[in-house]
Amino acid sequence: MEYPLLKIKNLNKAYGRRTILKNINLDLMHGEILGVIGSSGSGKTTLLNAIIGFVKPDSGDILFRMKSPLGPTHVLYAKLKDDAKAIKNLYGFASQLPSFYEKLTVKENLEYFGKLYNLDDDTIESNSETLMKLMNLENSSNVLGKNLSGGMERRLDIACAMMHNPKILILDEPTADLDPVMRNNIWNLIEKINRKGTTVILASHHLNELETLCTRIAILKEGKIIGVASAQELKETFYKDEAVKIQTYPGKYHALGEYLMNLFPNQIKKFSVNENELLLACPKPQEVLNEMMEAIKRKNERIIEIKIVHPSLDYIFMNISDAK
Amino acid sequence: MNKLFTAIQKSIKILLRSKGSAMIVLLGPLLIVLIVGAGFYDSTPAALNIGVYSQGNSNLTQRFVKNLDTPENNIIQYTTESSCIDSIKQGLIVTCISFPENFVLEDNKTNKVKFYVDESRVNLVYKIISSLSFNLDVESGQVSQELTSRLLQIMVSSSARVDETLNQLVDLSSTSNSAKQTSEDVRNSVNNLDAKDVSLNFGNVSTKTEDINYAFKNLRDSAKSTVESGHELLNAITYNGTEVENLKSDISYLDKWVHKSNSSVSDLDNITSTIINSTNNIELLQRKLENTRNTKANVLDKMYTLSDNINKLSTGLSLIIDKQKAIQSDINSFKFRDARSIVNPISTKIEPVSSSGNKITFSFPYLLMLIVMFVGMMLSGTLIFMEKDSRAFFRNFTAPVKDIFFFVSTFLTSFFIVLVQTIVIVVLVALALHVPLFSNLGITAVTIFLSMTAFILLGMLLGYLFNTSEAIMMSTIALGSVMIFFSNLILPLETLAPIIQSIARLNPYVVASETIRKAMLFGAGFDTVYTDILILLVYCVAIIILIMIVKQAKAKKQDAIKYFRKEDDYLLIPEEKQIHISHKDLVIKDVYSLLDAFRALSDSEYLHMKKQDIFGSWIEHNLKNKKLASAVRKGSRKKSIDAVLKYLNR
Repeated sequence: MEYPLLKIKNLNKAYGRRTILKNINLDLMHGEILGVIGSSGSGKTTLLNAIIGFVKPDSGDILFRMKSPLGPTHVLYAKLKDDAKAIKNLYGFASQLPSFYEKLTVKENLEYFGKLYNLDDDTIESNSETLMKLMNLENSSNVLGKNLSGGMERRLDIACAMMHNPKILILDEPTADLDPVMRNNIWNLIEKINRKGTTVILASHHLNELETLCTRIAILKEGKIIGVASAQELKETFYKDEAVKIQTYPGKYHALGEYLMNLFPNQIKKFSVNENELLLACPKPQEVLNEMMEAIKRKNERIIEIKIVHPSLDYIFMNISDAK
Repeated sequence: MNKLFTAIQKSIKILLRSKGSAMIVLLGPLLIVLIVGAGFYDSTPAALNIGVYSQGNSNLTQRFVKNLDTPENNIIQYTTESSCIDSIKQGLIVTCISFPENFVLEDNKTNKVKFYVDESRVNLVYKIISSLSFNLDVESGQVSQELTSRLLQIMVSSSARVDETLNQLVDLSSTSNSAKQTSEDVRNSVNNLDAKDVSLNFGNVSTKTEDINYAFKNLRDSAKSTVESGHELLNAITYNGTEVENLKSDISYLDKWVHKSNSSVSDLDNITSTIINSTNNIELLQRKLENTRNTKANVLDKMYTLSDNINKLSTGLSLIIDKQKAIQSDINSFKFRDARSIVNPISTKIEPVSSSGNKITFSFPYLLMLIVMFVGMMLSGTLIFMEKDSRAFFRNFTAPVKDIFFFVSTFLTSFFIVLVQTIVIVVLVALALHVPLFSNLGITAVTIFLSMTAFILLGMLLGYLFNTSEAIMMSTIALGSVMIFFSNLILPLETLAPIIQSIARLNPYVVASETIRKAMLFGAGFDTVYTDILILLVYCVAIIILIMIVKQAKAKKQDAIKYFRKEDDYLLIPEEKQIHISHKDLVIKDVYSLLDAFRALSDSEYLHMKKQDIFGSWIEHNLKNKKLASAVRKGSRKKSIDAVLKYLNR
């Protein structure tokens, strides 16, 4: 039987009257990439901050699987407050805002944080070399942190988090504010890291990308985990209908979406505007597709692309988010 | 240890790469020492501009002005008092000395020389007044000396005259005494004159003499008749017997007596006549005697008066002599005969208790401590803030190191930098400016070590206490200024109120600088300065305890801040105030949706909206956060995202 690396049990956190995390129960299994998705303010960052101990939960436990003195077969869990030093060695964390010294070079940052984790000079040397290569930072080893680009900052941040070879890598919005190319690089990087045996837990709002990357995804809504499963399982559980994806010119999607909703109130359940495209939740799209195309033309929108798609994680999430 | 060294190395690198901090914190003190050293090393002070106004240019005024005209003073004459005073206000002169009209020495006239000073220049006022007063006092003393000389001359000549008079008086007294004696003698002699009143009744003497004369004549006549009768009887008696013979003899005798008595009667008449004459003479004499007696009485009375007067004269003379002697004794007892000794009976000379040195030697302990204090406090406060404000704060938090590690590393970094600076300054000053810093190296080093520790800890306390660099800097400067003000650097502590003075004596800056001063200038041993060292130690311990308390309180407060701010973060803005970005299907209704919007917008879209101040104004009015609003107004899209993230991660 495989025991989780991290167990979150009945975790609650509230700020004043506002409950942020409600009875969170979550296991992190060894070797997986666990994605945490949720709308802004749903509690993703608070959950990750609670895992690393930056936020003190009001109740509940966060347990890390430790090396047992009784041997590998014996399972031992510990709370952060019980053995902070050992647990802090277990994870590496990269927050939304890259966390390193801007006035130290890439190499100096890695060396410094390596020292903080009590690594010897040789290990620091080899780890920083490996990580710089992995993060594609070897040509920037002597560049000051403040002079790095957004993508490089993010990579350095992850490198710093990885410097001590943690078992768990915790990433909060690792691709936020990055362009698609850079985002892709980071996802590839996370994949590489995971392949090397590091368990990853990450929060992101780029749901489509998580869909392909994550082993499991936890959906957080108003502080509650409403589902934890693989992307496919989530799709099957939460939504089986199809959707219509429309790209038009000039692309006044919001107005167009409202127009179509009014026109086909029984066929279109809802619409969303997502990255220069209009997505219509439509259980039986074939029935209204032609009429819909006519209506779009009437609205002075030139159709660039229109296609029937299976719901993406985005779409499922959107539905879940809006569900009362 | 290796970890600690790396942390120190990291902090120093960061500090050095912050050019502003490096300049201020690292080079600043060296520059200060250089400037102050140059300023104080030359013992010749710059001349002070002294304004002088005199209503009448008397000789005395000229003398005083001449005396003020030294290389230390630059005398500027003014024609009006008001222009002289105005020049002080304009800072052209440091003081205006106004001499009175008719500045001459006269009896019963007080000459007031007025000093106008700018009291706001507290430290300069005392120096000017003491310096110029000294110059004027010298001249005033000279004038006093002249007056006293004249007084002494008069006194000496008076003394000589008293001497002369005294001798004459003594002679006079002696003469008076002998006159008194003579008078006594005369009086006694007169008194001894026998001029008693003898009551002699010479009238009876004449009568009786005449009666005797008459009786004698009667007797003679009787005797004669008797004799004649005898003779007749005898003639009648014829008897011869013895009896007749005896009778004849008797009658013969009587006859002889009668015969003799005739002559006696004549004699008696003569006698009577003589007696009568004598009686008359006696009476005349008696009258004269009477006159004499009266005269004697008069003489005696006058003699008494004379004697009395002589007595009074003598007593008066004695009193005069006594007084003259007292005057002479007083004059003699006043031993000063040199006017300088009277004008300046006590001459003062200021002897330094420390070995001679230039001004930098005396002010160096204060200067050194000033640097240690400000650099220590600012550096440690800055380092604490840099750590708190650093993007690496989160990563440091997740690292398996205790909080004390960062405390110790910050302390050691500050300590190392301040130590290096102190060593550089001390060596430079000792070698180039010849300040005897190594004369009592043990105590000096211990004091510097402890004061560095105390000030660094104090700076760290401020760093932990405040959340912005401005607040840390301001509090450091304010605290440092208070410590400087309540020290001997600006004004002597003795000028403060007693209670403040006793508190100010515990000021760590005062304790440290005074200890170094005692050690450096007087070679004070541990037994002398152990109290000061103990005070500094107590400060160190007390500040560490305070830091612990502040850190604990701050941790709680931080939770509280998070609590409230997080509430704010989740606070939904009313619909009418929400921003709708329809073409992106975005609604900005809280800080999270703001972040989402920044992420969703393209750079050009963001710039377009930023130009209209949509975000800045919305943040300022709805999130009530001017700092974030300002950051968003200034920054690019990426910087704005960072600012919002920083706001959320605070």
